[in-house]
Amino acid sequence: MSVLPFPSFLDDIKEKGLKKAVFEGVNEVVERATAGMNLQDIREALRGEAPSRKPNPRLQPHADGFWLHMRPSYFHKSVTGVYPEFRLGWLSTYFVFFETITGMLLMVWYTPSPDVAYANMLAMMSNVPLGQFMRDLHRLGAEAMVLIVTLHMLRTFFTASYKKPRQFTWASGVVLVILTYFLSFSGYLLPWDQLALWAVTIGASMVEAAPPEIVGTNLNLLLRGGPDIGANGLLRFYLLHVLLVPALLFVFTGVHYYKVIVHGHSLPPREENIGEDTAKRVPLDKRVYFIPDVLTSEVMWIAVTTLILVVLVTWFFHAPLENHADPQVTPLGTTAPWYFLWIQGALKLGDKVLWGIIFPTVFLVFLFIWPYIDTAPSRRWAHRRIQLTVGFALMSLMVIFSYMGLPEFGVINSADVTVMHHMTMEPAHNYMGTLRPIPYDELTPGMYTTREFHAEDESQASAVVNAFNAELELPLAENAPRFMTPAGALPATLEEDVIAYLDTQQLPIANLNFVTVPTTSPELREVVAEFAHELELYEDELHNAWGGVIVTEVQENLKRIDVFVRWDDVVVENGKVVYGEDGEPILRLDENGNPIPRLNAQHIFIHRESQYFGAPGT
Amino acid sequence: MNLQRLLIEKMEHRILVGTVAFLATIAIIGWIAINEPGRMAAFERQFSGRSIERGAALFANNCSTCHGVDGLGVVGRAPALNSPYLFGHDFFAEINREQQALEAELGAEGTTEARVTEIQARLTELQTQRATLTQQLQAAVDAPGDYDPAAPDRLVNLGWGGGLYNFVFTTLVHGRPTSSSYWPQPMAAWAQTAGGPLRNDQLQDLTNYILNWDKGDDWTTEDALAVRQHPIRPVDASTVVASDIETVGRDVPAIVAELANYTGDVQNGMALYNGALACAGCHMNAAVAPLTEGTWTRAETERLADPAVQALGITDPLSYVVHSIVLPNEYISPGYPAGVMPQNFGDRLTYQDMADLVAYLQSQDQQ
Amino acid sequence: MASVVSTEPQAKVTAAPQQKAAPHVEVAAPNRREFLYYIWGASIAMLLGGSGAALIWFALPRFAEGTFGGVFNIAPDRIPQPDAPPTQVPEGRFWISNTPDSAVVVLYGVCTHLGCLPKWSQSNHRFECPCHGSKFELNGRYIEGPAPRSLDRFETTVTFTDGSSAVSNAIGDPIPLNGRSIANVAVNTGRRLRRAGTE
Repeated sequence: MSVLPFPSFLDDIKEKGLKKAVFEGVNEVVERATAGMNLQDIREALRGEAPSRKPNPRLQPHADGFWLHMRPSYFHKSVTGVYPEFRLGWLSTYFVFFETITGMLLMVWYTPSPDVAYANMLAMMSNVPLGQFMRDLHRLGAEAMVLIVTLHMLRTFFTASYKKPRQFTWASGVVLVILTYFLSFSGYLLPWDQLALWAVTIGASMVEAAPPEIVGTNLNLLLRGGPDIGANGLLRFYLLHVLLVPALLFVFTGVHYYKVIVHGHSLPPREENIGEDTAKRVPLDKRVYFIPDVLTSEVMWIAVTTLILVVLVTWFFHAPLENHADPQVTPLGTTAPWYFLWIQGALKLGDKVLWGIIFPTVFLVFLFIWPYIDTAPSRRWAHRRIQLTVGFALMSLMVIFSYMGLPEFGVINSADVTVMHHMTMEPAHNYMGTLRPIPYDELTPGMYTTREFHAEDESQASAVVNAFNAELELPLAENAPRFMTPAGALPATLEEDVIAYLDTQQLPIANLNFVTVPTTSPELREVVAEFAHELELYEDELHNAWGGVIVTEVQENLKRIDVFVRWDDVVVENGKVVYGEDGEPILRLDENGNPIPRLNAQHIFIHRESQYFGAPGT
Repeated sequence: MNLQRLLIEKMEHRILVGTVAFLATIAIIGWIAINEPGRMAAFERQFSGRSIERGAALFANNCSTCHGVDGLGVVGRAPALNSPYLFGHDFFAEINREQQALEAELGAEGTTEARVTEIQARLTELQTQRATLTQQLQAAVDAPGDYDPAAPDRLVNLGWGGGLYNFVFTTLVHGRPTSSSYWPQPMAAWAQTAGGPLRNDQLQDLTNYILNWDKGDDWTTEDALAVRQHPIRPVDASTVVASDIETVGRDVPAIVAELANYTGDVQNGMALYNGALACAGCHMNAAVAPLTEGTWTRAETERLADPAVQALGITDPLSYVVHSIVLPNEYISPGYPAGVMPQNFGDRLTYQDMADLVAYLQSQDQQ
Repeated sequence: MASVVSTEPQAKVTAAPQQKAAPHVEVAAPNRREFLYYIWGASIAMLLGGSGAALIWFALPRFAEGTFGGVFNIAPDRIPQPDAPPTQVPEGRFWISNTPDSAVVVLYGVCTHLGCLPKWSQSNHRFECPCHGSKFELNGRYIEGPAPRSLDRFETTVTFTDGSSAVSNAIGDPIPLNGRSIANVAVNTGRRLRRAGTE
């Protein structure tokens, strides 16, 4: 046979007949492509039979082939099940490739420039077949990768697989965890929406706090490429995300996996004597060969993982896309990505340098050198009480800090802002204002008030609202404070006062005439009732409060909803109502002894096609 | 672990699980693919709806002070945007169409006698309809601003080449720096690229909101009557050049001689200078063209002393000014670019216009 | 005390011969070739260090003097008189104000509300934002309107003709001149100083 099958192929046909010659040619090509297994060898492997020739051809691809030379030719039986590895290392590797592939596909439609990045997102969502699917997969894959890699680290900790001789394998793994987190974080900015800009602004401002000042300032400039996150910052994060961090991740994945192979997969602790490491001495009867057993198992795991991801992005998860990034408007409830909530929570404890820089650094250094601190030989839980306690304590600390990092924790907003924000907020973090998902046709133009829900029962509602309308028209006392003092005449009635205020919100109305929410608008009714209920919840802070909801039609398919609260001001210190001796909140009074009225209003527009619905938490 | 025994321990089970997973994945992706066109269209609609919402908020905050909360304009401050005029709605379109068709039929050979009578009756009817409509729209014509139902398209009147979206967007980008001749203050440039506060995506939202006022064929006369302030139309050069109007031409000595028969009106001159002829646009800023103020003195003391001017045979300030207007490229004041000033003022100005302009320039010199 | 101190070393000296001698490891002095390798290694380390520094220098955004983000040097003749209308420096997006009590402050000319550009209104003697009507005093203090806080300032270094100089504090209070005459005002547009609320 010559080097190439072809030149002698005609001779072969003459010699052996067509069928046999073709078979032999194919057989040879297959053997070369697999670096050692011919058709017969492959079929034996697939049939679950023992290899019929020696030396074992199934070891040949590990010796001669590029791809399989990285993989061991057999595993210990004890590490091929679900326990102790849960296949987390393999899945982490899979996600590296999964994210690389989906990421490269997304790059086709993406330009890292503030002028077009967001428009790219919209184009991808509206005019790229499977654009949303690809974006969702990449985003969910990123979240899953962070989760899987973290779980992988926890598993290694709990089975004490970091112990001698695998200390450096652990250390390289800690580097991979950090790279994974940063890879996910650097991708956050790229859609250039509000969520992205503000999550990254918070992250980058922690860098700015790094002492001494000259280091922090310059690190910040290096990262952002300018005084604020702008075109340079976006480009730099993009380059970090698609070039530098992935390159480092590939290198360290290589280092990490090389160490895994060199030392073997650590066995479940109970199968070894204390201080023993038998991973590399696998008895013949415990060997599970890579071809075909482990290979089959690995492909099955990624098949199932891929299916889970696809199911999730089809029915349960969509990558968030909020409004265009706006450096002028900080959204209420800005938050870091979930895997950095612990830092955000720690920051609420006080000093930015201590909790934002020193604490995470010390924590990571501690993780890094952990196997060099915990040098006791035993890997059994019974002998590791202190280590496991420390581990659980740190995990609990992380969970508590993460909880503290939630925007709901420890951030004081005034009650009126909280109540109205709850009704009007733009969709963010899977929440949105309760007014938004109301069906468009239910938004009947009219003026509604929370007073309606002070009625004892529904039949009284109309009378209560009418009485309130009459109350509004009563003249205010001569020296009573008005909320508004327009250039012209002083408002004579509460009604005029409110109208004058709403006018500053560009809502020109001639008079205030509340009606009951029509029965044809059950969802609107529910929201106004909830508004009334929330005002009651905050009745100390919002003393004597009543609210209004005004729906007006602006354009044929566009409605405007104004929400406002009027209340008497009470003394509030550090976000807490101050109570008098009688247990009642102390009212703020003007020089004539009248309570001081406060008024706050917000408005949103709702378009018929906007379709705010189905978000959880509404 | 039962799950482990069921799914993983037996090789056949692993193969089956893997196969089912792959097939299910393919099926789901296929299902997504089938729904994809609908999803994309839905996203498009949803996004344009939200864009209009954001535009509405921007309009209320930034534009409503001058253009009115309802976009109907504020008298003396800024024109209406929520108006059939901006969207080029022609109330007479249907009448015109029918009338033309009938007239064509009338002129054609073979139209029967009976049909002619019928057509004429219908034409009379249309005349009445037109008169009624004109009557109805009279209030809109009388309203502040220049609304003319016979020339109902703002873009056509402006000679704008692009579409309405581009017109609105471009106006938002750079504002209306020259509108100070019509309105008390110019419209600011709103784009960040032009030094304003808004990003391009916000201007797109605003434009989408403004265009959402369009009612297409459903504009009514009430809509036209609701407008508080119509746009002011720039004077159309073509009406000035109408053939029965005698323009000054380019013979400087002849013009100067004829001007002796006219008395200039400073106010008219100012209106021409700042408005129709838009001289002020360049001459108010010494970077582009010489200042308006001091023209006369400069002509007398500096320009007439220039050998280049003397070579043209100009010996007095009036001739110099007239020459500069009708033949602007023959002599360029030192330090200014050539070819900037329009060459056609000789065809646009009447003797009275020229006299008014000269009077205005002379009045500016005394300040 | 003294005796204790003096006896201890003696005890060690006497004890030493009794201890088992540690195995002696012969460390040879580096030969010429080894020494050259060390020098070479050191040079590589220096090159890498230098490259690192160069890399940082390369990637660090740089703001030329007189471009926004960098330092602006303002000649004394552009500094307004006390209580005179402020000078605008559009390329640096700032205004230079001199307060009635003769103190200089450099204000970032972008409204803290929505980023419009307030203008000085001499008749009302205040900054007025054209977009939404926020008003600010000559020294940048918030007066009224939707803006959340006073105008931001830039870090300013005033050098006087007598050689002394003064730098803005952390919240950018006006720098009092105290009768000295100005030689130069350096405005660092890379450092914006924010004030809380209406301070």
